[in-house]
Amino acid sequence: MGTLFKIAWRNVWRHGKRTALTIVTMAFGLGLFIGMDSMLKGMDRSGLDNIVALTDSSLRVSTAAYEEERRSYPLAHGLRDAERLEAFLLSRPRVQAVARRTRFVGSLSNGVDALPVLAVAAEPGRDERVLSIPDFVEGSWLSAGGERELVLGFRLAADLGVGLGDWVTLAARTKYDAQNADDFKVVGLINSSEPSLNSSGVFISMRDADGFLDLEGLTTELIVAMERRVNLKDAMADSDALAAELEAAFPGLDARSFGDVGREFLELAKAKSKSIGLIIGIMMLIAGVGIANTVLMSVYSRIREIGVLRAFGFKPREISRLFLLEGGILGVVGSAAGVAFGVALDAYFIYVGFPMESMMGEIDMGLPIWGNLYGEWNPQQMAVAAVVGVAVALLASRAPAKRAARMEVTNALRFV
Amino acid sequence: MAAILELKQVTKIYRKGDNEVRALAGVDLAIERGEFTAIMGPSGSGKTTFLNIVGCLDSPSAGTVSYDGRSLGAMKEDELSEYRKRHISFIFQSYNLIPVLTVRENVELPLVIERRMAKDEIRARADEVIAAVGLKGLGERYPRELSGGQEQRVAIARALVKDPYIVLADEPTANLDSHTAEEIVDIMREINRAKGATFIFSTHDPLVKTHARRVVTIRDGLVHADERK
Repeated sequence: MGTLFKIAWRNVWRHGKRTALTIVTMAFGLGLFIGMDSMLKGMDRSGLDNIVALTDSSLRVSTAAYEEERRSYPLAHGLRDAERLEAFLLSRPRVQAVARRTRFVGSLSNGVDALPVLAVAAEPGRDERVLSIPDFVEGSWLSAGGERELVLGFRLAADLGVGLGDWVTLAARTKYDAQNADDFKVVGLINSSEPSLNSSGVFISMRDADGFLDLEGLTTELIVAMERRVNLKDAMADSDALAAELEAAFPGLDARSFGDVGREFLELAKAKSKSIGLIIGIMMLIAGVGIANTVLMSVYSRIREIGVLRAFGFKPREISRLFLLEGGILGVVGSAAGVAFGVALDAYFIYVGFPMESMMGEIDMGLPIWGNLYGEWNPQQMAVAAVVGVAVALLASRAPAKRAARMEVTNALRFV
Repeated sequence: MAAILELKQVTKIYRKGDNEVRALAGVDLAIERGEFTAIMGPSGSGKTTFLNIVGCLDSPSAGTVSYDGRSLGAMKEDELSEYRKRHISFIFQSYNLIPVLTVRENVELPLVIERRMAKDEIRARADEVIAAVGLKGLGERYPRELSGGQEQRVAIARALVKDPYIVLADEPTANLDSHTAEEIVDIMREINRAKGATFIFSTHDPLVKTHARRVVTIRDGLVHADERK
């Protein structure tokens, strides 16, 4: 085996450029596979983290009637006994914080122009314990005791030509469907990684909203923060269990768990990874053809050598093994280079990240991913890539190796 | 002396489309151990076919070939490979060294393929034959770093390293100048004398003919003359 390996190894490097080209093709395919896998995993994680941190929290509770008409934000179907619900939720294990939110649509005016807005009444001091507060371009979040304060997206502020300290008029329909309007002072301009918040998002305090919308203590939803679990399945299971428990204890409520949202998201991600798998398959096919070609060229350039080895007693299967070994060496070296390239790509994606905003602008990709996208290590997939690389190389070398083994010794020796 | 190799009515017919080419037409020949035999004849007379059949690289269409009384006719491909590995060696006109192996590795190759000796023994044996062909100190060179004459010496060393029954050489001096050709023939002759190795070689070279102790002339696929000196 030692001499066979020596011959195979040295022959692989005998035609350096040809070998390098094959290895580069293979390394590029495998490296891209590893890098893309890392990004896909990161995309899943980032999407789910964003869902929890920015929009949906671990659990969102509203009435079933509200959930049915959710798109029109029906204030009349709010939660009536929020205190009891909060107490129940906070008594459950893994629940860390609860906050009330009421969403409504309205318009915001600078006195001359008005733009439609998607407004949220939140509880300053409690809300930020459940969802992340976006970054501020200017100003700050609603103060706990403040009155008629308003925070809005920085693009919306620019569209209306308003700035920090300006007064704006918010108009909306109350719970009783009456039109109401009131003036609010701008205390903060936010720059969220969720693009829609920047262009149409408005926040006021729950206390101001209560009078402004005639809520009489109603809130449309409760948002719940649960302990972050490392394993995604555990996080989903926690959230699912709490949702089931809550719906059983409070009939007529709709508890939308992070598991529901996450599963929908992962379904989307699965379809995406299938298409990327296909691309990688095509790349590996190209690499396989490259290896087959390299080994075949090696066979044709060494016909006399094959004849000599046969004359000295090499059996056909040993000749076949020699060329399989050459393909195997190409596979191992190509896979190693591919994994190295993949690790480098992963490291870049993990530590530097992929700037979704600057690359995509504010294009809605249909996935809850905003801000910088970071990759994730996946050693298992790297091992799979390496094994697939070697297997493809061996498979691709089979036909040329067989051809070499089948050569007639006398013809091979005569070959010039 | 007993014949180490015996051919009886060996015929070889090649078919090319509808045409039949009778390369050997019933050769009878016995070679004794330690003989130094030249096979001569014009181009297309059947010399190479004769060597291929004697070297178990090709099988006869009819007739029998036997080594030490053992017929090779019934052997399968793998058995023939095994037989070549143990008992037959070749020297080619174009040397045919493995370019990625050093001189020593090329010489060691038949023993490595044979897998009967330990690594140290193989190395010692290779060094011994490298020295015997006058290439001491060149063991670490690659074939591309040698002259034609030196390459052929390596080929001779490679052929002799396993003490074969028979060494077959197809025009071993055809690619060499007359001075180097004489050196090569001298080496072969010396090894034949000292070690008793049996040589059969095809040649057109009159110089080689003068060194041969037996000259077999093949013409039209038949032994035309068999002359012992």
